[in-house]
Amino acid sequence: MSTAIRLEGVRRSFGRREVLRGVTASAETGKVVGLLGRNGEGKSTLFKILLDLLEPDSGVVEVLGRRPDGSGELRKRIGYVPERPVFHDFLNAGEVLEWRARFFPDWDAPRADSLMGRLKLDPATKVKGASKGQLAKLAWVCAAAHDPDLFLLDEPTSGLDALVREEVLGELIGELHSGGKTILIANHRMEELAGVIDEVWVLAGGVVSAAVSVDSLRAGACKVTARLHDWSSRPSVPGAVPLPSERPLAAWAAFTREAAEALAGSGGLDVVERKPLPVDEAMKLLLRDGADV
Amino acid sequence: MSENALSLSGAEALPAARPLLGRALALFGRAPRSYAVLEARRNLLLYAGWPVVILGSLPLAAAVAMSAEYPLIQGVAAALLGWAVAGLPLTALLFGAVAGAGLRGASEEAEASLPLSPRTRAFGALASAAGALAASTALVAGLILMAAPDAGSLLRAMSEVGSNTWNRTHWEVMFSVLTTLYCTPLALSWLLLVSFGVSLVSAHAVLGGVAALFAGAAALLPVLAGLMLQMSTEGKAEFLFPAAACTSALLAGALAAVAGAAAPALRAGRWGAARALLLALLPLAGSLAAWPALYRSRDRALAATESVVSAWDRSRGGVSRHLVPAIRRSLGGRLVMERPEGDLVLLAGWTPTVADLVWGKRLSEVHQVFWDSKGMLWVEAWHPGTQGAMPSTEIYVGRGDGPLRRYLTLPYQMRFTADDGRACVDPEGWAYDSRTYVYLDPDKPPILKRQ
Amino acid sequence: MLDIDLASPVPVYDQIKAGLKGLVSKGQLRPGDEAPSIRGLAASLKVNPNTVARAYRELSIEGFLDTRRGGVSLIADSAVQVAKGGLGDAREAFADAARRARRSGLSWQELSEAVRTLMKEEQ
Repeated sequence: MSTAIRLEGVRRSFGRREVLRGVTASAETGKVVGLLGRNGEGKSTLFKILLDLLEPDSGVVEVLGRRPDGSGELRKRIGYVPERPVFHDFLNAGEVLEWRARFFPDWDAPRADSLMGRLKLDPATKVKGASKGQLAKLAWVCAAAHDPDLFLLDEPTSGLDALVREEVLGELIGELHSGGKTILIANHRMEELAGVIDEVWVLAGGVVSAAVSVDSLRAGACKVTARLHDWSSRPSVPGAVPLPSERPLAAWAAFTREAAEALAGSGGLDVVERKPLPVDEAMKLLLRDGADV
Repeated sequence: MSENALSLSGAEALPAARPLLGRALALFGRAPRSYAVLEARRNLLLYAGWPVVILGSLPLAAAVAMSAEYPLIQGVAAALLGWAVAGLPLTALLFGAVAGAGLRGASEEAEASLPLSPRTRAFGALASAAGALAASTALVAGLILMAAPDAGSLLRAMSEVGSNTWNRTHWEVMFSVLTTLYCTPLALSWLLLVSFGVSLVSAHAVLGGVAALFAGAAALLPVLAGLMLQMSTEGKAEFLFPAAACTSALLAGALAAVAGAAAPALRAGRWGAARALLLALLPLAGSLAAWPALYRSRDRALAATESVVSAWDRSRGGVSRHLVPAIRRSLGGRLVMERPEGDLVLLAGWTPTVADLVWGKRLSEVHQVFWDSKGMLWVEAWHPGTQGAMPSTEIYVGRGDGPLRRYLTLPYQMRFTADDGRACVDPEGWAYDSRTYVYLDPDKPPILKRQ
Repeated sequence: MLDIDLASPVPVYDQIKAGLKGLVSKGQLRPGDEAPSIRGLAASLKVNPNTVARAYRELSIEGFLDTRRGGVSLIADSAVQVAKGGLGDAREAFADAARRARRSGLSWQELSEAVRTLMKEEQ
């Protein structure tokens, strides 16, 4: 199928609290999507819905061409790394994988072994007392060993030291190499992923407020500064957000070339200067201020 | 990855035309079996350690018995009785609560990415808890069989639960209770199921166990009461079968309901948790079937022993005895008379409530009933005495068309009889010839004066 | 081996192409050498392998790389020319920028200052 993830108007509340208020987004097969969102804004809820662990109150969800039905079958083709990986604490790493193998028909034991070897994770490592890095590595092997079509990664590198982070990212990139895999990855530090992701979804206010391709951000995002004549009617343009300014200079962050040009063209601006905006800055601003991109 | 990745394996690959059978069989497929084993491993310390606790309690009880100067074997018997009556039900609650709550919490996170349906997980956890419970139950039953002096009589006692059960050895009583009550699909599996369901929905083991304790007690009380009632009468425990059949059927359905629906219901948003709780408490509906059975057994027990009283006709000299079919003595020492209109009039005694019968309140016994020359009906009822007081005899008198009034309370040494058509009391012993008895006049207060 | 600035507005695949051409121009990579594997380069640069693949495709079309059977890419014989040509474009672009700066009113002094500042940044 050509669409790996399709969400339309997905809503989910917990009691009175409305967490997802109509999420609409879709990801093509083979794309790497970065999910940008603050904690508590519905990231984990969204993941759980994609994983068929939660039912949306309304809306359409399609994952790998199928609607989640509560049976958990979908999870045979999904590799999931949760924000804080948890394992049964009476097992060691090797046993965790052995048990998983019983539930996944497509489990590839030699692949799991080679993953462990590359990540330098000893199968005898006990889960109880394992370091964060070891748990992250184990979580990766658990997610990748059954060769899934879709990876759902919730902050897979948070709290890890630089070396482990490198190793996990390297494995992730390796997965992409085989082709046909779609990845949805939530990461606070988008800058380390800026080269890998194709698209960014900004989850804010319970909706995907923006879905921009990273290439267009990279090519078009810029900071626009100008002298503003009339401060009472400051121009505003879709695709650009105002930045803190010191009179008489006004500044904006424009996320696309068109937005920048629209700004420059709008009346009342003088000596317009455009400076390229680094991709990670652009993404931070997208999250903070939204932009109607 | 092509669609092959989703091809169902093994027992799950059944034609879509038989989806229900397919789903039922899928519950026994490889994945659910593996999951049940994983659950057992998770709770290994508890499930495998419990038999050790059971075995360890025996020498402990024996030591306590020895220190209180009772024979060793009585300590062991007491411990086994304790396990049979209270320990195993608590075990069922414990295992159910641990299994249910264990499915939520850390386990839920660790297993989030596994392709198991909530139904499978619930069923697997329940299966491993039930297996562990069955093992502990078998151990206790086996120990009782081993410790009892005559195992054969125990097995016979299983099929003959009635009033004679109390006359048996305490081993037989214990075993009868154990097998008749707990090995039927009643008490233990019920407690396990309710405990499991509430713990699963509330994600709280203690809450689940306590809720199940109360809920289970409410459900099982009628069954237990019925059993005790039955044991107060002669005959076999036939009454249990209707109750057991109803509840077993409901239980089987409830089992499927809990495993099948409570767990997935948690996934839904609106009303999901409420629905799940409702489903978790569904097994209690089985108790509704037991309540009518209880009242039926009570009535049966009461009716079965209402035997017709032979009242002496002492109106004339000499002794003749007539059966007065209208007057009946029943369980509890009630004396009732059936009036021509067909209703019953309580002449003496009291109507025991279910609670009285269950708790085995010692009931009064009616000893003598006779008519005197004036046509008054006299009843002698013997009371066992409460709270350490001595037993006493109460004399009732009346016309026989309505309740009798209590006329006199005698210390038990005095005998009450009739002489020459008059009721009289012998204060010192039976001495017919020496005429030491005093006559009683129903219309006057009793004055025990020598004639 | 290659320096990629993920924050730069220049598309990543362009940077990869320029980087490889630079290595050949400096002589660190010679015709006949094996180009870094797509997977390895992607991993070390922390970029999407598709991006590297795209860069290699275009380099192959430009005649900089020879793609052999088995997915191995070798530096082509004509690579040096392509690289120099590429460098020629870079040189042109710099000259253009300098001319425009001069036309805008920058003095030679100011231009040299700017270049010196850039040198300092790199060190």
